[in-house]
Amino acid sequence: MFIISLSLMGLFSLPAFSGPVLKLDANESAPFWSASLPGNGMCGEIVQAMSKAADVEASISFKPLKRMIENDANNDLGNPAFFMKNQEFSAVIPIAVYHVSIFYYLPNQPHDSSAMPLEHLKNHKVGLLKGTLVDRSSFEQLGIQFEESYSHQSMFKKLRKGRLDMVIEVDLIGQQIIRNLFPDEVEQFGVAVMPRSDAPIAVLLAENQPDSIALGKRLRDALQQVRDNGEYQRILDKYYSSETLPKNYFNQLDRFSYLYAEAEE
Amino acid sequence: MQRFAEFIFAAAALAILLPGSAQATGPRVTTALFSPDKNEVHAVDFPPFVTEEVVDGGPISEIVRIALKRAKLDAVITTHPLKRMVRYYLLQEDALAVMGWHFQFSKEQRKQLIFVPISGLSEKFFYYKPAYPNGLNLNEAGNLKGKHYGAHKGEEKSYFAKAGAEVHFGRTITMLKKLRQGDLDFICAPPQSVEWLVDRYMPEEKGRFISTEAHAEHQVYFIVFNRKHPSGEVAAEKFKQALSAMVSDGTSAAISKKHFGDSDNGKMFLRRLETFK
Repeated sequence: MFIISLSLMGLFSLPAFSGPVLKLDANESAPFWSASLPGNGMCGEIVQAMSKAADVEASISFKPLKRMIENDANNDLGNPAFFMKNQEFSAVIPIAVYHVSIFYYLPNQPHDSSAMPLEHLKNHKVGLLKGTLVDRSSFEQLGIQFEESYSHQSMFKKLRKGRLDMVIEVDLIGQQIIRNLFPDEVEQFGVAVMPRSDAPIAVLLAENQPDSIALGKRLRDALQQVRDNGEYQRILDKYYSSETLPKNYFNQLDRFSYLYAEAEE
Repeated sequence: MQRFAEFIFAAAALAILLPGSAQATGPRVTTALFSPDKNEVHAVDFPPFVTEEVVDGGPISEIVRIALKRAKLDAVITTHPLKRMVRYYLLQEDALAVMGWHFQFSKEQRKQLIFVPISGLSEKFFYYKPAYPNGLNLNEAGNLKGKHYGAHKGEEKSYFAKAGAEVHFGRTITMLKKLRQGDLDFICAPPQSVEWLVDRYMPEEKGRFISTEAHAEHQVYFIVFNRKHPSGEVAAEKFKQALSAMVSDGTSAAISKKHFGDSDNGKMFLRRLETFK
């Protein structure tokens, strides 16, 4: 009952650690982060495995994205691009990679839509989640309008009904929504991973986190440890099939680790 | 595969109950995402001059984008949070070009690069008025001893270090916050950036970040083309011509006016464009 209560509060704690305490904020984005999933989702499981290897007591609190961005003294979990505009971090440790895909409904749109030139988008109805459009004015200059939605589910329902030609969504998120909404029609949906869409999911340690630089190094070493001992792969295998795991996943993760190391210099 | 499908289905059943909105692990939809075959010009996020948070990407982005278009160069601008990323794409992935200021390239690296100035950037020294209600005099080196100075990475700082100031590095927004907290005594930044960031992130502090009479050196914001890119040298030449024409025909001035109006900040932004006609 106590565990259920903690879960409902959006708080998950790891037991029996003698090392430092690390409080982290995450935002609901299943299956990567979710208070409702076992181990708090794929990245929650990775954080748990790293914390255990590093002997760090980590706890994850789930909060709205806006609150996470506005709080400039907290440790964040997610894509660093959302948080680094407003906050300086002592360590940014990429722990996973996600990709954006174009989803389309084959009976309405039989062709692979991923190769569509930017300029041709204006002839199509493209759905995306509210808040994800970054440089709106650049698209508007090209005459491209998106249909923005507050709900993942409504986007995919519209896609199936032909009210949208395409939906732009994170790969794993879109795939699981389709499985849930249309379990008998999974094969009717086309999915094309967008080139250049790889983005990191990271643990971001705030400057005011005690011993943040040493803690960052400890977590980086722990991540390598769980990659080397196969635990990381076992977690990935729960969420990706061998067909859906991007081929360059680990190269991309290594590259992001290199790029974000500047935060510690 | 069966176990995988079952797990995903279980995950979906739970996820479907959750509200949908922008997520910290969500898509960031930019034009670059739809342009996998186009060249990229990489830059560090630098509000309000180069940032996705300002209409048309800010005045420098707009000038560069129009110049690229007029030069018939098929390229998109991509912004990043860290300088290391821009250097990586330029030097290790041989990107067509990058944009920025306070660059630190070795003599050897400079040989492969072509620097084209886009605009002048005037900087000023700022302090936090509640910390120094009677002002802060930075004109004499003796006043700098023991002070904490906030600088941008790559910035020339030897003068302050020699004068006994402790130099800290950071981005402008975090340095403004440290001024407010008393962790820094003064910083150096373009006044347009300070004005925009205070408006955006701490409007209640408007009027409390005061510029001193001491002037910082003028800086130049560059686009840097890469000779190692197959089109680098030709692109640099075409870009220079297009940019020069934009200065002559008033396009650059119109873009500055659009973003900064007729304010002193707008005039400062354009002042040094004349020097590289």
